[in-house]
Amino acid sequence: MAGDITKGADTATGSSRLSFGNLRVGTRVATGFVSIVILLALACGFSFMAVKSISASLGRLHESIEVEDRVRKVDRDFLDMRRYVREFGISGHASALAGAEKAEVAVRQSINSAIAETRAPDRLDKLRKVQTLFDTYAAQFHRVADLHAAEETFVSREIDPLGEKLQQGLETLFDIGQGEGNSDQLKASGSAIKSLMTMRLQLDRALERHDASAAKSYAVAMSELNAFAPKLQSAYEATDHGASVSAFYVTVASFNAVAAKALKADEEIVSLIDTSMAALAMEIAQLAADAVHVSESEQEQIEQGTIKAIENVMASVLGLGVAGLMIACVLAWFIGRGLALPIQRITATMKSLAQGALDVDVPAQDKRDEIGEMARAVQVFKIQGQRARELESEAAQARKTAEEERTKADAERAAVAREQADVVEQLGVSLAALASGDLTTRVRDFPDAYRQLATHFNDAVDKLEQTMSIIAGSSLGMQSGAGEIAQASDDLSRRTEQQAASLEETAAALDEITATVRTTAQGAHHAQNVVATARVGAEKSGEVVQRAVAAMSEIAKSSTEIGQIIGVIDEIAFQTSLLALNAGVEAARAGEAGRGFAVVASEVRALAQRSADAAREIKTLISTSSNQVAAGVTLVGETGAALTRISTQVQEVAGIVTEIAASAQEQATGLQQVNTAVNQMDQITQQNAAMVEEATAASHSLKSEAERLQAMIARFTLAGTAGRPSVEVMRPRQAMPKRTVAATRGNAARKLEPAQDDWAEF
Amino acid sequence: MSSNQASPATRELMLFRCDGREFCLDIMQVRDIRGWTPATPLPHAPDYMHGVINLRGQVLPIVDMSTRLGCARTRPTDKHVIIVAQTGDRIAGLLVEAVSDVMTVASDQIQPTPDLASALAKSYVQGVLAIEGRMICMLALDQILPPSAELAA
Repeated sequence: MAGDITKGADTATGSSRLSFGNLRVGTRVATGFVSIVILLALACGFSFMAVKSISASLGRLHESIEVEDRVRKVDRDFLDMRRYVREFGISGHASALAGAEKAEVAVRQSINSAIAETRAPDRLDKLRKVQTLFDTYAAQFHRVADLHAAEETFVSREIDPLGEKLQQGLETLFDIGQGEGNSDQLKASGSAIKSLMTMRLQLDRALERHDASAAKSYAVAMSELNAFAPKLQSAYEATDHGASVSAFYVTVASFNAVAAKALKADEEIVSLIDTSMAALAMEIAQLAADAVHVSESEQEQIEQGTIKAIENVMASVLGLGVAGLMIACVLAWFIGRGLALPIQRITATMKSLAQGALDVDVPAQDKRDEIGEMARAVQVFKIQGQRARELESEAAQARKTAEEERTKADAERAAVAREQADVVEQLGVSLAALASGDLTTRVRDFPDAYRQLATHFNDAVDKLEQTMSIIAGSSLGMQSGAGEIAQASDDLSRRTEQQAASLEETAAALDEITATVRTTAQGAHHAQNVVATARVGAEKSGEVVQRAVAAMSEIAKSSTEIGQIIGVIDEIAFQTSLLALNAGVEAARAGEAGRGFAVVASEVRALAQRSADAAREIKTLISTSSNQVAAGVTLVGETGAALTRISTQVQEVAGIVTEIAASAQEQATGLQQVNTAVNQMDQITQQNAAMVEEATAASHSLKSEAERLQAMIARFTLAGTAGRPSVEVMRPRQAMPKRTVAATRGNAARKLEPAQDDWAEF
Repeated sequence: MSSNQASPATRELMLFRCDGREFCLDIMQVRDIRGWTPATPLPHAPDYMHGVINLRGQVLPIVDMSTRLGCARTRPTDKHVIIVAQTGDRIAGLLVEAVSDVMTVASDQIQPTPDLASALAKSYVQGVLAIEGRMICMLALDQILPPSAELAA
């Protein structure tokens, strides 16, 4: 298809002069694009078909893999069953039998599902064959199972009872030998028992394990037992027990016949399992492997086919793409060339026509497209141009006469123009100087006609210069002022920060003081309590003193009474003494007769004397005691007075302490208020600091703005630098703000310094 | 009476104190010893006559011994004692400070009044007893008591 298109393009080039070249431009472009679109549609269709076929082959691949999977499952399940069958063959266990039967069901299911999945007929045939073979295998297996069951019944029903009977027969013989005390009989029967045991054991093993060597051992043991027959016979005939021996050997013969039957059945089982079933199994496995193999090769085939198809599609799409690109390029070249060439030619013709070469030929007039129309229009232009040239040559004559008049006027005009040029040049120079910032520039020596212009220009520049001078001065002042403000703002900011810090410290100190005052108030309250307690104590002490005074008075009273009593005693003693003296006198008068009485009287007098003395002493003591009691009363009274004074003073102290407590409380309240105020101050200071910060930033930006203004103004050259008188006049005005700035600065400095001191103090 | 017989050997003396000094009398001349009872003064009586008291219904003149022995007049208290003495038929009460003792002394212990003393003094003092370092005058009651004429008057 791509080849067709190329061929079409070739034919188009060949006949371009006649057919393609005469098509209209739009048609040509549309033709090109339509062919490219057709090509693209073809490529898309082809790609779709290819992808569809790949999808189909992928489906087939999927099916094949699925089937392979099923077949593998059959193989796996069958292997399982074989394992169980083998185990059963060896052990004969019921569990192995059950496993084998279960596996059989599984194999059947797998085979059925594999057949259901498979579509390919040859594979289906193979699977059906597998199914048939497996049926045979299963039948044989069932046969084996039946045989095994029969053998088991046979063993339990016939072999075992016969064996028991043999054993009993021999034991009877042994017992007979023992009863007779015949050593020959004992020996023979013992050996026979041993052989019988071996024989039974080997038979059991042969039947149980399907063991061929055990079967042989059984035959050997049997012949051995038979070999004992004559010996037994001869040994027991001596004691008339020969009949028992012959009966035993009849049983032996029947046992042997039964055992041979059982062994034969066993052999059949072994041969079935080992030969027939094994062969079947091999065949089934081979078939399954074949099926798997076929599936694998089929898959490989499909895979390769798919890869090939993909490669084909890729190659085709690539080829189509390249072909399409080439065709598009060729078409674009042809269309572009078909349009551009005639247009270039017509353009060249038009250029030469514009230059006045009216004798050129206009190409492509015979074309029927838009270019042809254009060419025909150009031809019209050309004819008109030729006509105009003829008219022009006529007018040239008339123009020549006018030319001479014009040259005369031109000379005059040139003079004027020179003057004008001169003026313009000067003005230009001045304006250039002005533009470069030189405001000292002036224009001079203008012709009379332009004198007023010069004056106006000079006036304008003068005005501008004055203005700029003033601006320069102001900006200088502004710059220095802005600098001052920035400096001041910095200082203010720093001090505000210091103030804020001090205020914070003050707040902290105030907090401490508040705490201290509160403690003081508490202490004062405590002291108040203590003082009250002291006052109560003092009052109690006063009462105690009163009681002590009363007690003292009582003592004094008692002393007085004692003194009176003592006086009575003294009186009595005195009277007694007088009586004794009288008695003594009477005794002395009585003479010798009264001698004894005189002694008694003397004794009584002595007693009276002693009693009087004692009374006197007591009196003295009592009076001393009375004096001391009196002194004590006085002292106690003084103590009472002192206590009363103390009480009064304590009262005063209590009052003072209460006042102290109240004032401490007030102080605390006041301090709290002060604290609040300080905190507010702190806050305000913080806000001030922030504002000052902003002001500082603003002043700095103002400063930089002023500097920029200064720099901009410095770009202008002013008369100040040239030393022109007009600028001299300006100077004082310019210097004025400077001086005021200086003055204010001085003032500010003077004002600031004490302020700084104050702050430092603060 | 027996005491008169025994007088050569021993004598019983009553010691009393008057105006701080000790004097003594023969106990046989003492009739009674009494406590002070206020005496009724006698007008125009000698200053050593303190007055009279009622002694069991009998008017008994009281002689202030201190004044009588040339010292100041006694201001009697409860502690003062009246010694009722008798010589012959004259009886009077002697106001003294106190009766201090009754003692028995040997007669030779009473020494005669020295001659150096005046006749008046010698008439009042019968003898001086020096005993245990003390000098005690034994008064002559006859001289001390007022004459009976005066007493009778």
